[in-house]
Amino acid sequence: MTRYLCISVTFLDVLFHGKRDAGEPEWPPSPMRLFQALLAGSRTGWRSREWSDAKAEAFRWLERCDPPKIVAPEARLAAAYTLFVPNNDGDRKWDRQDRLTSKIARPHRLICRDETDQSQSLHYLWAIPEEAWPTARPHAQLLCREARHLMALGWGIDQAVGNGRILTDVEAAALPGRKWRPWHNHCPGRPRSRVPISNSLDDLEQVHAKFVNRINGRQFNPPPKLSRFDSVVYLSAGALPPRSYATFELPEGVAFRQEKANEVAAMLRSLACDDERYRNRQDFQERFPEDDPEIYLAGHVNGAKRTPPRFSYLPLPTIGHQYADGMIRRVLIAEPYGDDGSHARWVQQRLRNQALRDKDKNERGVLLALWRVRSRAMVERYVAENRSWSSVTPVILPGFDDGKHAKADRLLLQAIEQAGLPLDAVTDLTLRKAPFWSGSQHPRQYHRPHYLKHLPAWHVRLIFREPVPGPIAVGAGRHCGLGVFAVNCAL
Amino acid sequence: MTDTFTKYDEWLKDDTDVAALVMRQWLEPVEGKGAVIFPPTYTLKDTQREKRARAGEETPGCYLNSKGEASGYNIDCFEDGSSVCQIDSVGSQANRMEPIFKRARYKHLVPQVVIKAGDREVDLLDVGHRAADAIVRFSDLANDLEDAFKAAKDGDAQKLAKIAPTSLVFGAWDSRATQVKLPRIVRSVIRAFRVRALHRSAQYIPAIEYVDEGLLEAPEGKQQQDSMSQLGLSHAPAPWSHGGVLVEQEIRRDATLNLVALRALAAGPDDDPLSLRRYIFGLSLVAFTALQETFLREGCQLIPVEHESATWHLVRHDGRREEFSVSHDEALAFAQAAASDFVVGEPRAATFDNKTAKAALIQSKDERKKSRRAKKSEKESKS
Repeated sequence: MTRYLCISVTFLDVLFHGKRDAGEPEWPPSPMRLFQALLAGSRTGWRSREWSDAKAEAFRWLERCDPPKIVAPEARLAAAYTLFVPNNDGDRKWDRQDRLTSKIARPHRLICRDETDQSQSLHYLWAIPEEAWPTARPHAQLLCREARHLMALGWGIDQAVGNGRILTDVEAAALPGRKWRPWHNHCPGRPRSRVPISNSLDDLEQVHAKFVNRINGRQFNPPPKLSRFDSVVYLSAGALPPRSYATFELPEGVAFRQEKANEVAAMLRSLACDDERYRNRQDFQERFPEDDPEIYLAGHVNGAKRTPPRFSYLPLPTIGHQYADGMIRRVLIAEPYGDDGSHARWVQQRLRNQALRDKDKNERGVLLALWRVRSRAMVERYVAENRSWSSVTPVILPGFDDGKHAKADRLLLQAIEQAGLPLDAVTDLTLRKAPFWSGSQHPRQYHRPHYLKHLPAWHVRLIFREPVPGPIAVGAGRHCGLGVFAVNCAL
Repeated sequence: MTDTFTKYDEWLKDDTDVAALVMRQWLEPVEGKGAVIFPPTYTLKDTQREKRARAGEETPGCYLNSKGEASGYNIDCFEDGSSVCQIDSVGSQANRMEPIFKRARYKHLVPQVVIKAGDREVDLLDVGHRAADAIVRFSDLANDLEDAFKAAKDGDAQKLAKIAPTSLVFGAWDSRATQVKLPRIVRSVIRAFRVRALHRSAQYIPAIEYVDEGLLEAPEGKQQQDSMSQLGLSHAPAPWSHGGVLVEQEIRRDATLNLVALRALAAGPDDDPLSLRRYIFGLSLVAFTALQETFLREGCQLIPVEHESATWHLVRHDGRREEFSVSHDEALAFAQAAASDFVVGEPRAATFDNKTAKAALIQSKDERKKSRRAKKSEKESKS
């Protein structure tokens, strides 16, 4: 039987001001933040006299545990505003207005289900397997008691009350709220949350001691920052696992027309499979002996009904504003959903600074790391988590629709399933010939390989029940540049 | 008397299940429900709202000046059409609540500390950083406060409670010396729900038309025209600017009294902490229940809604909430009993010691160099 140490935090107000690294608003609050809040509660005021070796051991046990699951209420990012507070140097500048310093607040607002639902509790769950319970028990029980000393989580104004319990599987599963799980695999571009590791407690104590003694007479000694922590991505439990990917950008002056997306994808695939100039295929075989490069890199699946794991080669046309020209300046190579990211990391390192060549072996552009200022934001349009997505390049249906919309709908659902997206996650879909994006074209304008030429093609909009992470590509051409979707709008 | 005095003891002991008290109080404009009120204005420079406003999108409560810089109200809008606007922030509420202990009815509950600085007299209850403020840390109270903060760091809040008990109630950070941080026990904020942001336009009209009367020459160019407007010699339009908000749902004050933070207070290692905790709890209850200053700012005077009493809840550690009630008279009676038992600190008259402050300002060359080097490596490690 697995037990769970459950530390629950109930916010006394609906705003949470905590920020993650780089000053971005954070939700849910990271496990490291909780660890620090628990420690602060245990050592504030007279409780610092009660600090003991047993308490220290309990915290050390906790820091060595795997990152917890989190069950959190829904929260939305609130409006940002700048606060001005006076510096505490009234001895130098008498007038308050002369010593104002600014701070930007960008809180999350917890969503109340209704007026009576005032309990905004979130829960952190550490699994304790049966065999570990005898040693873990005294630590877990001590932490349950210490949790009740928690006073705030986030900024000092984010007052909260804490509680600790030991729960069974069933009790843990019944906790209300959105469930988040730690994801340790490669996940580029996603926000990461700090988690404690071995020696986090010692590090916190050292940093705190340096902070408290930072002023020595008239001398200021800046305290060090925390360094003993790890960071992981937290995924909503109901969400699709992320899809690891590698991105590249073409040099200045090199761009391809969007209608050639399939040709660009073919060049990309050819480069990944290269066994002469760059010997990429050979290197892949050495690095991943259990994966057949014929399948994973080249996509030769020999008519298999279920696509085995393989790369998808996805050109990313420039979209998103009325003057966007839809040209291809960036490309993305994606692993299948839920893979561990190792293949994406390999291809990111391997293909950088290698040249794309067309079928006549002419060099067409070198693959660079993202270098334009706006590139990260452009790639986000294809990989961010969102509910509403629209096709940029048309979706090739996996069968003939006989010109009937109803049949096209059914084929589209089939294509969605084939792409690895759960059908019950889709709440609405739209098929049409007119493109959704400036720079996109009618489906008949797009180049297709011979085996896809006669299949019907549509532009598609999909609305999902829950936010789904990108990149999303659907249809018979989903591995070779067709059926690429982008985030439609923030939902 | 004994019952009054001990009625909340169960909540002040360490093994209690009660974690906090929360209060909701409904307010309305003094002009009556539906009147326009003016929330605080914040700069919105470099925010997404400013970008959206410049792009011509609808951004309630965000106003662009003639230079395209945004300022406005702190309004969150949601997809279901609801909205929330901040009317008075946590910090602002604390600064309004603390000075109530200067009122005749409550002044005997806390030591009255006044600092003389030159020709001015400053009450400690009015000072932004409370017992940690520079005005008092450079006064002849400095040593007493240093001792008090150091004792608080070691778990004994008694000394600080004898000098500046409201610093324990509303929180303080002794950033200039000991670095002791005192978590706030009382927190309050006022928000308005479902609001519509409004605009207003105004025009200053000079007493006479100076140019038409031949008293001044006509301005040559926009710069001269602007100068004349600034000096009040010409018309000065202020079109389509902040116009307050119309509240369609309610204005509400949400306050919390964090009993966990209060229970972190104790006296010496061999002393019973209850007396101190009752005292601080009493002050907190008075701060909660006393009639607040109604005038928040020009255009925003709020009073409690008649016939709609404030609601109180106990919050337990497991998140459960239970109704409970306390009137201001009950709170005051308790606070008086607790203060009497604790024995309120003596009033103090301190003097800002400008010699000490000046000495701190004059650094040796070496100390300045060291300080600059330390600041430089901090910056480098941040980047």
